[in-house]
Amino acid sequence: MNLLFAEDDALLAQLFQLQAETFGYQVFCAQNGDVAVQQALSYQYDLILMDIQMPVLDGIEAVRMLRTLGYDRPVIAMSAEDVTEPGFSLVLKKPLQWPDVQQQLAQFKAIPAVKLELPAELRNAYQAHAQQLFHQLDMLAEQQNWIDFMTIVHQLKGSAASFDLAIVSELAHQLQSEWQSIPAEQKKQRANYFLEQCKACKLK
Amino acid sequence: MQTKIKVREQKILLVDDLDYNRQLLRNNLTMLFSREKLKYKAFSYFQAHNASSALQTFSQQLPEMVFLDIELPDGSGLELLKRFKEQKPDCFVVMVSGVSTLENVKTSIDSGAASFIVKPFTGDKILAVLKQFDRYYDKLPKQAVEPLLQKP
Repeated sequence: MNLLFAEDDALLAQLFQLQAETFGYQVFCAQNGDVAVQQALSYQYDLILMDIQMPVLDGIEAVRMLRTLGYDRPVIAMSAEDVTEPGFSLVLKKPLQWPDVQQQLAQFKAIPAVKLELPAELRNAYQAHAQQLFHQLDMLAEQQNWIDFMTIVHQLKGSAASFDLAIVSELAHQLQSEWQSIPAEQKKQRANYFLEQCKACKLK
Repeated sequence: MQTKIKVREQKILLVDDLDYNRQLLRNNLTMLFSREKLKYKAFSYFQAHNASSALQTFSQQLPEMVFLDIELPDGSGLELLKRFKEQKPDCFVVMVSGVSTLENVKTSIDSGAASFIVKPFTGDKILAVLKQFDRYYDKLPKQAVEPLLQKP
């Protein structure tokens, strides 16, 4: 069962992660409400635990946004105060006491994943298209045309995982998140490394 | 005596510049509509690969549901969302994006989007949207739903 733990106190998040993982939960962390909303819309967690007072976007606003967008999976509030917001499935009192937390978490079960139907013909067609994109990326890296390069990387991030190329999506995501902080003189080297990794992925 | 109700074909518009994504969505919507216990099962699909063809198709078909990519080659899906909702306020629009930013999510909500999917597509995300669509149409005023339910 996987959980998203949204909490701005990094130490508390680390402690929760250690305890929950001991009991077999897979824990992902978000450091504020904004990240929690983005994560919840990107991945289907079995359960979200949401702190109320968080920077950027607080837990109440975050759960309201998710519920407005039809998010119907359980979200638990964590707070020292009373929480009356109807979007939460449950409220856990802070400070969290592990035996109590464990007891409450036991009410929730892992939600079976729905497999995406991917006909072989469509998968093969996309994978051939991905090969063409790698070739285009090679040329764009050579020209150091980073705007077009990153547009294609963005496309790969958003689509490759749906066509049995999850690693390519993950590599593209990693490159996108690092890109702004890479010094100009190192961009070509990093781009080539990304391409080498993509090409090494075994296409089915 | 009970009257049998036949559900009229609902129109679904898929807007994405990548043909593979539209095909994938269509395959999975078809599969999930027929497999899951959903109230609304009959549908017909329309597709658009950019903002201008999406706007034209929307105006002609006035679909009940739209999957709308935010990043289109000739415009933003967020702008299209506003135009769609002006033309058909009860249309169920699912925003689709390769990346979610707080600003995009807020703008989508303020402009009347019903849901938001961050790509890549998964079976869970698509099914969650379809279940939401069923609930949404149940809550609409009767006169909005009646055109969908035709007596044979």
